[in-house]
Amino acid sequence: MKRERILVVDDDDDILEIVTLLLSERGYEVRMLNHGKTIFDNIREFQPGLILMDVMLGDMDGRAICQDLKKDPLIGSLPVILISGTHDLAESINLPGGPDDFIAKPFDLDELYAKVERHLAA
Amino acid sequence: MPIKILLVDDNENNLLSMEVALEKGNYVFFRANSGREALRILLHEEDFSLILLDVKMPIMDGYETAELIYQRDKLQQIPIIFITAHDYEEAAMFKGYQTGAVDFIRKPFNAEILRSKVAVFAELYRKNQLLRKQEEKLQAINADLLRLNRELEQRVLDRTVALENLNQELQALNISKDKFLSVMSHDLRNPLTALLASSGKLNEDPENLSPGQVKQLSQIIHRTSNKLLNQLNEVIEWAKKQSSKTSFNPQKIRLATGAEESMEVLKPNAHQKKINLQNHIPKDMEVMADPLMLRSIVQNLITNAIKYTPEGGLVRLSAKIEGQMACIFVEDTGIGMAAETKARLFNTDQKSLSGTNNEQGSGLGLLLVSDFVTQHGGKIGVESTPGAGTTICFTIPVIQLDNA
Repeated sequence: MKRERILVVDDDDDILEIVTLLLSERGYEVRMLNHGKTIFDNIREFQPGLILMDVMLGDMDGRAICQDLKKDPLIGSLPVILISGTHDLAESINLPGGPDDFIAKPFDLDELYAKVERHLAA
Repeated sequence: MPIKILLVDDNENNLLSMEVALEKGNYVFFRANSGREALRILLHEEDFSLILLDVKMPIMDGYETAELIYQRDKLQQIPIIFITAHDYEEAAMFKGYQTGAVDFIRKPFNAEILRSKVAVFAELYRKNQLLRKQEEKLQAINADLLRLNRELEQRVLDRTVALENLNQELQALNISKDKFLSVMSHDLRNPLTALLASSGKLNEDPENLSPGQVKQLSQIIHRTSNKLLNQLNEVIEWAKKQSSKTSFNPQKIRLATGAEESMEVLKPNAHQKKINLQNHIPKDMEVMADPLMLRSIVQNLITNAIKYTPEGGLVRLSAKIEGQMACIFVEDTGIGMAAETKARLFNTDQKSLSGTNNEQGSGLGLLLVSDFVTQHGGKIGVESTPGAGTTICFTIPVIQLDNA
């Protein structure tokens, strides 16, 4: 069976490492990206089934990247979960250009697993 | 002020009889025997209230004299009464009025009429003088008002500037607070997230984890705990600085030694990136500085220099004396920065950019450095060339060797 792929984008290398470890351990194939600059190339190359992305990415804003992704006819249907320690994005879920889900930092492991599973299944 | 009257007649007797007739009026008289003499007197004496001018005089008659008198701007205000032996024929009178006469008296004159007419003009002169004085007074008052108004405007301006400055200080304080909150919420939450997730995983099902995974998790825990501690220290340092601005305690420090201590702490960081850390500060240079603040300044600047310098680069400390201050340079061969980043470098809204090995920071470091340097009465500046390197220069009071 082909393993489901997740692209994790966060500018904090520790977060990337632990999230990758958590998800790999659950059987997902994970690619890490610590900036938002080449996200489109990475998506085309890696063909993930889900994107897990932090809002603060150095000088880039995860919310803006999410909007760009959603506008793309090929990528637009790809589920995006935004993660943030400062912003509450619960209200922007499923709005045009908004993420499919939102996880607040620090996150609960079960919540992470549950949301990842739900959006990959959808 | 006396009323000055100029009497002009070619006949000495007439002059005398005019003076006698006007004797009781308390006037001051000037006499002229000809039009020419009258003009000469008018050149030297000023403020005549009235001229009594004989019409029939040899060489230059009264009308000609009047014409010449009124050619001078200064004299145009002086009323002239013509004294004439002619009957009041209309043509002569018209000529007189045309030259500017205000009245006529017939010769031989009636003393009573002369007195009354002269009295009218004397009174007119007095009133004019009075009006002029009042006007001068009004002008003085007006000037005073204008000056007061200007002073008031200046004071309003001064106060406005003072208020604006205060407002800016308050805003800066507010921004500092906002920055503090943002650091607390974002920059502390990130390592906490990694910490909680790793420890949570370890705690959840330790028996199902491979030894490799346990090792990886504990490494993350250890690393992020250290990161948290560093950020906590930065926040505490910042908060201390905010709450007690009095803790500034400058003392005599040998700069090179102080810098060496700071460098010692950061040598492992430099070593990790194979960066050459050099201290070229003159050994005998002494400064007046708060030891803790100086250490914080130097450590923060070296940390940044290492952070933005690729492997194998150079970070170099040097210093020189400029007047009352020591200029300390922290120079690196790093990635440099764009003009835009440079302009915002010491602003509170500047967030930390990732280092060449993706090192993270709270963005509080330079805020602290800038605060500490300012507290020493110094300045901080930056020179940077993208791709070539950055030099940060700050000043603190130096102790002049020749004074020691």
